[in-house]
Amino acid sequence: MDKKAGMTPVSQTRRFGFADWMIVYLVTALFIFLSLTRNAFFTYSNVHSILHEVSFNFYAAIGFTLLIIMGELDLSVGSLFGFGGAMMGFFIFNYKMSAPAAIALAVAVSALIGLAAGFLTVKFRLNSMMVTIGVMMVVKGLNWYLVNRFSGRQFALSARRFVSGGIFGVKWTIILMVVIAVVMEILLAKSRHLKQLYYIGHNADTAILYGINAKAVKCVCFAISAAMSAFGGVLMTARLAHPNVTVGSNLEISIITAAVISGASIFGGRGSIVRTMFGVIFVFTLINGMTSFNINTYVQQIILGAILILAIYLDIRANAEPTGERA
Amino acid sequence: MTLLKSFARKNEFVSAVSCVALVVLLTVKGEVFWTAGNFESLQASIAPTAIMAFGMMALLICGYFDLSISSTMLLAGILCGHLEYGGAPIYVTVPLVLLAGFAVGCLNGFLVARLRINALIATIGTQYIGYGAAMLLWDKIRGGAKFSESFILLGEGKMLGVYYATWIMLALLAFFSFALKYTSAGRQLYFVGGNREASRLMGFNDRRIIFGAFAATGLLASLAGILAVARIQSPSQYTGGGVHMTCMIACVVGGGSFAGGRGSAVGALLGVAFMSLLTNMFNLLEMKPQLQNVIIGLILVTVIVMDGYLNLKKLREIGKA
Repeated sequence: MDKKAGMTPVSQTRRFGFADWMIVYLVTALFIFLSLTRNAFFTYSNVHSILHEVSFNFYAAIGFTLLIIMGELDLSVGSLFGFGGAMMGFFIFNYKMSAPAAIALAVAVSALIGLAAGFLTVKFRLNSMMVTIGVMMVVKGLNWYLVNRFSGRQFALSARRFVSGGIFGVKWTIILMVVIAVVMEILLAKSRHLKQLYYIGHNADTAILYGINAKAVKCVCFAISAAMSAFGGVLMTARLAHPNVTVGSNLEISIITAAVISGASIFGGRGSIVRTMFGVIFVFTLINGMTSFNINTYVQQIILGAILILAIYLDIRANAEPTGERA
Repeated sequence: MTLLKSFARKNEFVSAVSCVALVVLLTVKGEVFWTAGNFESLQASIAPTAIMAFGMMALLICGYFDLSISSTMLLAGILCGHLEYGGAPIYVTVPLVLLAGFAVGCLNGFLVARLRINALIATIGTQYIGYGAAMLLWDKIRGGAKFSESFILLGEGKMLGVYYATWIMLALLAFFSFALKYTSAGRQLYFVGGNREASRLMGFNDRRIIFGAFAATGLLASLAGILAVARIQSPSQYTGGGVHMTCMIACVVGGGSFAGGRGSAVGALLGVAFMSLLTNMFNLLEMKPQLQNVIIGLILVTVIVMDGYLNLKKLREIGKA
């Protein structure tokens, strides 16, 4: 174990210091700015509804963060987010299943899709972005196909009211989000198994030499990513009360932005779940704020795209090796 | 295994065989395949896509790709609408729109070659931005009139029974076939894609080569956009949807590789022909567009896995993996 001590998680060794928590300052600044300029912003109901929406999307970002720590990118999160909801509708409308069974099945099918993508990636040493873009296309087509079949139909009340339940006036999805973030953060720092992710992301060859089964770990994380995306999508769809083809569209852009702006690196070895949560809060608060300023959706899209490119550029400035290939 | 080997060695061979197989299948299956109408619709789908695929192939040869061509094509079509409805003559519209496409290509080239941002993320970002910009512009010309006569002639006009767009595509095919083989810039694309480090040590300006390939792809995407909207006589918000995927699959089927260093213009055209014939078959079989998307996605995954498998095998042969 002594030898492993040399392989500290990269987040502790790289420069950036206080900037590791930059995303928290960014979120705070955004909240202060919106509170000062918009009357309706800093009310309990508005902040609560933003966090409610954030929680669904955060679930899709969990597996994404685990993968980005290992230097893999999963672009299929958005499509699986939508497909999860579509499958829920499919099982409920076509097979008259109960909501919990339909949700469990939708999540399980998505996990299998993620596992397949992960298997192909590690087996043939493919670029995970390329594979998941293919998966995205397949899943989007299936999603579109399923949703078209039951347009206009709504879930029964029992299949949608559970999303808005909560305790002490806080919706349970928000509480679950915070619990997952904190527990995962502690596990990533302390657990022998989850620390492996940083070793793999930092230097996969060394990690394998030390006996870490990098391929299996990656496959599992791809499955988690897909399953949690579908879970978020199911909740979102249940809140909308019917499957909708726009659920999860372009979500991958928001999630890459959220992860990278909060300090994860596309080169692997860096990333944290709590910070990703703040990243997702930042992105969706920004969208909410832009909407409250009556900024056109398409202009919002342009701004988000520019932020994504800027975030990636800053990541490259901070984390890319100064020489050699960095494609 | 021998089939796999021929896939690896003779790259255009596979796409050519697939095309012939599809043509045979279509001839047997549908009576409408060998009709003038179907021939025209095939041209209309092949020509613009192939024009972009030449640029995509140049990028794949040097180891990159561009996902933003679909939004650039859309943007070009909508810009045509703005300029045409504003009363600009065709000799102003076309150069200006080409310039806009070139600018988008230069932006991609700057992000990838200069700032060294991962090509996939950079071009997904510019695609997202491009769609935003295009739809913003589209809102202002929604439900507009038809284009002017001279502009429509660009899409509808024929020479020897073949659309101008197809002639332009064939001219570009000749140009790219020649340029990739016999000009120093074309050869450098292969060197950069084959071994980036070695090409740099030999003194090639790899960044300039990559930048040039991106700029050319942007330019070609806007040309494709112009020809596509001229053919349907008015701008449309559906121009170029998913065409980046079609081009990418076409180029890899036609002998390119994500690892770089391989590919030819003829291969790109054959790949595009394969994709168009496939869509033609789907339509003749009256398959739902949603399911077509699923199948094209599955083909993409297959192509990626196949390409990765062959590259891995090659690396193992030379003992590097």
